[in-house]
Amino acid sequence: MAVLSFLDREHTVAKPGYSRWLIPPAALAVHLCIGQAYATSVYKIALVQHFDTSLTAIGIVFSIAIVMLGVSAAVMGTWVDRVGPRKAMFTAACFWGSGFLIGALGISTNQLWLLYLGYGLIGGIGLGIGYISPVSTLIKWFPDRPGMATGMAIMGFGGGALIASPLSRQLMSFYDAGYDPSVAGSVAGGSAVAKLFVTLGIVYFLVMMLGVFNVRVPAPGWSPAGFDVSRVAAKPLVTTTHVSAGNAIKTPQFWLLWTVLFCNVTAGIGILEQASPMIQDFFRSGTTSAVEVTAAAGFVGLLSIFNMGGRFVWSTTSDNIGRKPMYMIYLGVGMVLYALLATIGSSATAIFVLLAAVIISFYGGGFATVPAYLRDLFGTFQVGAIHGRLLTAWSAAGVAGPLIINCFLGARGTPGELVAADYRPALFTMVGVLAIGFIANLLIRPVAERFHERDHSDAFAEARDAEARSAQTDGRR
Amino acid sequence: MSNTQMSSTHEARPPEAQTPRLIVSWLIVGIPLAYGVFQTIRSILPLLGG
Repeated sequence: MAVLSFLDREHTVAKPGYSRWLIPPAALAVHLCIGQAYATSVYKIALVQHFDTSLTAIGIVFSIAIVMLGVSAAVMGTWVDRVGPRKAMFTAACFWGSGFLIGALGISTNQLWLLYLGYGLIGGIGLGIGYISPVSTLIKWFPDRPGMATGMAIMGFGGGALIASPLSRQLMSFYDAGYDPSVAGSVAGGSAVAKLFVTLGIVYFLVMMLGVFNVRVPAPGWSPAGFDVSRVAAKPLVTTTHVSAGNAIKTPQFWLLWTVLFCNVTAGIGILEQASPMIQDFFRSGTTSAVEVTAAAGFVGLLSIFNMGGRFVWSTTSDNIGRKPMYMIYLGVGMVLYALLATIGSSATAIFVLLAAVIISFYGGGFATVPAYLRDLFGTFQVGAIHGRLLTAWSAAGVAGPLIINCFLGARGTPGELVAADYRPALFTMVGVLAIGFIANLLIRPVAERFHERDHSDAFAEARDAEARSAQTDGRR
Repeated sequence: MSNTQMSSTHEARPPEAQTPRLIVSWLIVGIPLAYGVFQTIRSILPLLGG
C-alpha cells in the first residue's frame, strides 16, 4: 500500500545531522506503553466480579499475553530486523491498541474469550514485537554506549507499569462514580474497565506513533562524532564480526547467556511475586505484623522504582566495566544479598528493604544489559532477532520463579501468615539458582569464527572498515 | 527509490532545527514517566513512616 510506504526501511534512513537523541524517546514511547502489561493487577478483581469467574480465569488473560510476548519476540525477531524499526513499531502499535479495543468489546458484551483473544493473544503479539523493535536500532545509533541506550528503552518497560497503575485507578474512578481507589475493597464496575481499555488502546496507539514517526536507522557508514571503534573492539568479548540469528542459537554462548538470563529473572521474580506478603511475614509476631498493609504496598512501589532505575543505571555501568563483569555482579553479589536476606533480613525493616531493593535493581539490570551483551558476542547484524529468541528465557523464568517460591512457601503455609524462617529454604534455593547463572556467565567466551557471517555490513562494521581503509591510505602515504 | 527521495534522504539538517522536536519528544515520554514516579513515591511514604 503506497500510503504506508513511509514505513519501509529505506524511508527511515536518517538524513545527515539527524539527532540520535530522538531515538531514545522513540523507543521509550513504545516501551512505556507496553509496560502496562505489568500493571494489570489494578483491575483484576473488577474483571473477576464482572465476569463472575475465578481469579485464575482472569489471570489466564495476562498469562497468554506474556507467553505471546516470548513467542512473538522469538518468531518475529528476524522479520523485525528485516523490515526495520518503523514498520515493527507501527505493527506493535496496531496489535497493542487493537488488543485493548477487542478486550473492551469482550468486557462490554460479557464474552471472556474476546478478552483472551484481544488483550491476551493480539495484545501479546504487540508486546513481543514492540519489546524488540527499537533494540537493534538503538545499538546502531549508540555503538559507543549500547548499554546506556538499551537500558533507557528497557527502563521504559518498567516505567510503563508505574504510569499505568495510578492512571488506570484515576480513569476508572472517573468512569465509575461509585469506585474510590483510596478506599480498600472498592471495586470498579465492568463498564468502567471497558471504557478504561478503550482509552488506553487509543492513547497507547497515539503515543506509540510518536515512536513510529521519530525512529530512524543510521545511514550506512554512520558513526557518532569522536567514536573510536578500535577502543570498543579492543574490549574483551566484543566482536566486530557478525553472527546470524540462525547460527547464534547453535552456539554455546547463546545458551549460556540464556541460562544467565533465566537464572537472574527466576531469582528476581521470586521476590517480586511475593513482595507484599513477604515483608509482612518477615516482621510478624504472632498473628500481627509490624509492617502494615499500606506500608507493604509502598514496599511494592519502592521495588518498582528500583526495578526501573536498575535497568538504566546498571546497564549504563556495563558500558564502562564490561558486560561479563556486570553479570558477575548481578549474580555473584546477588547470591550474597539473597543469603543476607535469608539470615539477617528480619533484623530490621531498613535492612530488609535495602537488600530487596538492590536485588530487584539487579533483576531489572539483567534485562536491560542483555541486548548489549548480545551485541558484544554476536554483532549487530541480527541482534534484534537473537534478542527475541533469548527472551524465551524470560517466559521460562516466569513459570519457574513463582513455581519454586510457591512450592516452598506452600509447604509451610499461606504467604501472609508465615514468618521469616519459612522463607529461608526458598531464598537459599534462589542462591543456588544464581550460582548456576554465575557459572554459566563465567563460561562465556568469544563466538567461534565458523559461526561468523562473511558478506554483510552495518554501521558498526562499516565504521571499522572505513577506519581500516583510512589507516591503509595513511600507510601508503 | 526515486531521485527526489534519494536527494531528500541525504539532505543535511542543522542541529538547532531539531531542538523543538527533541524537546517535544522528550516531554511526551518524560511527563508521564515523572507522573508515574511521583505517584509511586507517594505510595512509598507509609513505608518510610510518612
